[in-house]
Amino acid sequence: MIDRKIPAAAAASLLALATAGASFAQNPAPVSHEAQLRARDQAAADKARALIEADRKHPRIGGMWLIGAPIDTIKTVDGKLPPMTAAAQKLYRQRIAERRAGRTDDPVEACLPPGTPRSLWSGQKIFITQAPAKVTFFHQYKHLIRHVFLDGPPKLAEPDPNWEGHSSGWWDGDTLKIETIGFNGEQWLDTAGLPQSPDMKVDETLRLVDPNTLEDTVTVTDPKYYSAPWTTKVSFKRQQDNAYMAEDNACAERLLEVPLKNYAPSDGGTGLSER
Amino acid sequence: MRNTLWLGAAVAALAALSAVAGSAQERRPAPPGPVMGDLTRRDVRVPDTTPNISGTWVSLSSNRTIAPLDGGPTPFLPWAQGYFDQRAKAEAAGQPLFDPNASCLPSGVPRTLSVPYPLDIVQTPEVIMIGVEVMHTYRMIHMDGKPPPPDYKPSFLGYSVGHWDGDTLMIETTGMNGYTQVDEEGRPKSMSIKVTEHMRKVAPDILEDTFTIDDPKTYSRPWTARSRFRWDPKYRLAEYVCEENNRNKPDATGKLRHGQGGRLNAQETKAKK
Repeated sequence: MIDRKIPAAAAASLLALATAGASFAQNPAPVSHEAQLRARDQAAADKARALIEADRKHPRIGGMWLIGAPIDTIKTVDGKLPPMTAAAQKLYRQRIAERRAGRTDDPVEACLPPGTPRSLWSGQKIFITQAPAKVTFFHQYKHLIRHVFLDGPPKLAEPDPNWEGHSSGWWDGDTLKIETIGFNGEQWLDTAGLPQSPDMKVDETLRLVDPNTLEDTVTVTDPKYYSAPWTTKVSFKRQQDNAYMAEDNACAERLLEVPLKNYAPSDGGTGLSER
Repeated sequence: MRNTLWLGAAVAALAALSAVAGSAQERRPAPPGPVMGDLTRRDVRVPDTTPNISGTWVSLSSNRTIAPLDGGPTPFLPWAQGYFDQRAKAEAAGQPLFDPNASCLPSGVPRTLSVPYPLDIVQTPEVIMIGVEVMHTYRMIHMDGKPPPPDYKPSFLGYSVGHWDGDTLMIETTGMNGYTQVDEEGRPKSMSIKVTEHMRKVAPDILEDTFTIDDPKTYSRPWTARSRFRWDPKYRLAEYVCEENNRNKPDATGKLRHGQGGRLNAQETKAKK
């Protein structure tokens, strides 16, 4: 899925190179590095003006948000299980049975990132920053970051499948649309064990229902595991304590082979002998 | 073999280009303008008079060592000198001492200022977020001027309070736990450490952070060091997953968890298509 953006990117950069070369040939007069930077700054500011003006009118989705309750078993908006293929059903049942038996291959148990969209319903705070060209999700959970660039494709010079995927977004009236692709296909979509493949695509629509309620409508398209795209909806409450979010490293600390002790002898730590 | 793969990739790329040229464009409204670099990375509610330090900054000062700017010796207290020497000795002997970084825990302040990984700064009126690529973490610089809340528990990155003094962002960080070091080389710190940063643009594309380490339990006097960063509007912070190195850890039953190297599999699956 992600490949589709690459040729366009390559063509665009070739064009850009050609244009740059042409203008360079016409203007051989030396310009100081500082002046070039200022000119670039100015050009960017001019181009940014429209985006900034547009963003002044957008609903303020920035701030600290928390889901009402964490969701372990994701259901569609109709309250049903997503339409799994036979392969997905087999995996799903196996994962539920394994967890019940006290052993699980859930990547989150190995401290790996919940990724998109699972981090939306993991039950910890999310601090959203809203800038005209980028919306960023700062998750309290393991201090993970998800960048949503509002400038459309191209996203990457090369595909780099990962956990959070690669998100791009755009404002559609009062809603923010986000499209995410480029997954590694390893994460589960919920604690129960809904699978994903590397070809999964996640479409989100973020809408401010009222100033203190943010709703995210999430559609998952992944033909390998789901016979049809399916949609679920989650909503977040704005947290008044906007400025404080402690980091959560509990998982990494749990995996430590050596229990963590203060390093500094002045704080009572052992430091010197610890290996 | 390699040539065949390349040919295949080229054909696939062409096919993808023609297949998607229509659909992606139709669905997605044209973005309102080209990429803005850094100028729009901050919240529109930040007053225009505030310096703009938002965007991606690539380190120019990555170094194992954070040492006094004046070139003088680090003013260690005796225990700290012993700690530093012992680490250096262990390292020279090929048996480096434990470092929480090696277990995917954050590096703390100021060590995150000297790592060879970029920072991504987003400015809002209430908080300045500094995304740190390495160990996937971020610093929250609280611009409300209030001290840490009473229930604040010491953490790896501590609690940072900031304010603007002219063109300089002043940041004071306290409340760090005692698990990290000042630098990778082994300058220690105690929980009493206070780091004061003066962050400002010294050129349109150069961010300079001059920071003072004040830790009376570790150093005989406060000392100052400096890091510089270069603006890179094209760079996008990557997902950094240290924990993927944990994946081959056997579980209680001795079975390898994710032992097949899942990421590799995903890529192989893709390549086979």
